[in-house]
Amino acid sequence: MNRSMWIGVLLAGGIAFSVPAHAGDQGAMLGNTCAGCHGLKGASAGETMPIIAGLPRDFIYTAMQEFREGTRSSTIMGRIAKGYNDTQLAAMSDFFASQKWVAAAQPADQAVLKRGEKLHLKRCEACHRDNGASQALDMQPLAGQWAGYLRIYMDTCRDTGWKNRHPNAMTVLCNDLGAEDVSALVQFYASQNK
Amino acid sequence: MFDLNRRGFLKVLGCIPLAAWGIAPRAANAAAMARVVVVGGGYGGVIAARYLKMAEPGMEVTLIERNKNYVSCPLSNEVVGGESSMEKLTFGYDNLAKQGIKVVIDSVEAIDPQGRTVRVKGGKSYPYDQCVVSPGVDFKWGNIKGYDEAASQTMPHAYKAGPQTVLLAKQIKEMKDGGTVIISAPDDPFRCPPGPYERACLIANYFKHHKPRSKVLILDTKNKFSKEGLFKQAWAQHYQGMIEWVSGDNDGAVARVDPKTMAVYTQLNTHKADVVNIIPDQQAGKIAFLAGLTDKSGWCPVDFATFESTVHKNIHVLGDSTISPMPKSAYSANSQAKVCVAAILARLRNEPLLTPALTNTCYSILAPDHGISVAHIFELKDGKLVQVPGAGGVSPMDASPAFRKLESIYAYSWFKNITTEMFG
Repeated sequence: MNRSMWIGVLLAGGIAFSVPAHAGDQGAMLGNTCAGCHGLKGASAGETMPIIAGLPRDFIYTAMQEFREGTRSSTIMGRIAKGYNDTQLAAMSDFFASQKWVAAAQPADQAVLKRGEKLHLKRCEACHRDNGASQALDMQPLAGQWAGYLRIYMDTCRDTGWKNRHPNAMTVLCNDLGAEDVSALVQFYASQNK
Repeated sequence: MFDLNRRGFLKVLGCIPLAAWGIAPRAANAAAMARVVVVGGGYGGVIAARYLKMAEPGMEVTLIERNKNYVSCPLSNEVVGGESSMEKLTFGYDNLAKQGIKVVIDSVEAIDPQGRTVRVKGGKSYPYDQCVVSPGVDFKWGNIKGYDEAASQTMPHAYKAGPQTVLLAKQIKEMKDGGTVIISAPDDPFRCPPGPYERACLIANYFKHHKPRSKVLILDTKNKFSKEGLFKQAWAQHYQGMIEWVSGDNDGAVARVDPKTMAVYTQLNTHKADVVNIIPDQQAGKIAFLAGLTDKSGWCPVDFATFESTVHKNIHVLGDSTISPMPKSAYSANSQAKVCVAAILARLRNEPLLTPALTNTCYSILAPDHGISVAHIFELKDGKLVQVPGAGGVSPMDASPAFRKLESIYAYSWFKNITTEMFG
């Protein structure tokens, strides 16, 4: 709306009321502190930092609790998550869940896609449905996520000292994957650019 | 349609009794009509300008910055150590202009808190409803005898990224093998507390591969420093015998330099070196002094709920120049800018203040594949900014090589994201 239209609206007396701050604003206040590492509103531009914009709300909320309690391993997220109570984590999660998912702008290595797809169907599709795009059951979408981040995540799943949400499943599924398998898988998800 | 400028319009609005509307006028409108001038286009100022414009596309946001391009201090130690280039650290303001932010490349000469104007060297004055000042640091040139701006051409500080960074990198590259680099580390508080020690690592890393008989001597005013345990562990691990740190109590404080003879004098000793990097003691940026925003400490007191100066109303101060328990880091400035923007919007919209959320995350690269970090989460308690108990802290001691490697990888994504948030 341009300025003269505003004035018109004002003079017509049809102006809206002052909107009090609502919970969403506090969520933005909390969520904005993450942007320095996770990108503007969670749309990460860094290839090893996960996109968190548009993730399922409960996925973010639970992941942050796990970081805080130490049931999900991390380098720095555990130290950060300890700074927030459940109410704050909920507000933060609402904020990121309400953002638009923007797939990473990354090229996929075409040569390994077939191998990646095969591996995905055999090992991953049962949970990470729809070629990794599914968010059913609060699943973190893999399709369009940064390949660099997914590679690190899978590598850490193979490291038995590293805890994740489904240590049994993820460790078993990843532990006999070679570096080339992991590459093929993450390239496949990179190619599912949605 | 009648022609009213913003100020005129606000005056008209102000003249109509609120009761005549029967309701409070939509205060958000005042925000859309407001003029905000941001002084300083770094990690604090750019985020403030950008988040204001994002929240209120109609707002007149002016960003005044002295330099045409921004050169990031974070990651500049990699240039000193020959592992990166200035191009990777340099950003232009074009995208900010595209978002409708009025970018003015000029030096600020004066801020008038009563008349609410910012005057630049070019002569023009920019009126504001709210002003944000994010001027970084300035050096206390007088603290080390013989060290002034002219001396910094021989003994670079390289603590404001730009030509000084290039000069120090060049001197190190041209130094003979077997030579010594002295780093004089400043007294607290100063920008980027791990900076001098990260620099020592990256210079030693360069020596290890190119000039293995060379050394780095850190002469320090202080007796302890940021992430000290982790640094010392890395020195022992990667740079055995190559980095020596002398604390203040052990005669580390540099009192005088002589650029002609490349001599560095402490109280009891004279050190000669091939390259001398003097990082001077610091105070708030020059603009903060010009605007009268500093107190006797040489830094700017602010209200942590809003980052408004406690000296002058309607002027907000961000980043390195503030007096705050937050480290003087890029991330702190970024985080403070967002709290400040929320407070400015709340004021203009006549809404209650939100609870401020302030964090810091800072990575240091100690060797290729060896990164460390520190995190801080702050909360406001009775007007005081305190760390949330049990949260934050530095990377663990004795972490695995894989852990250290991950943190080095994350450091680069951190840089990518924090700079894309500003300039992307």
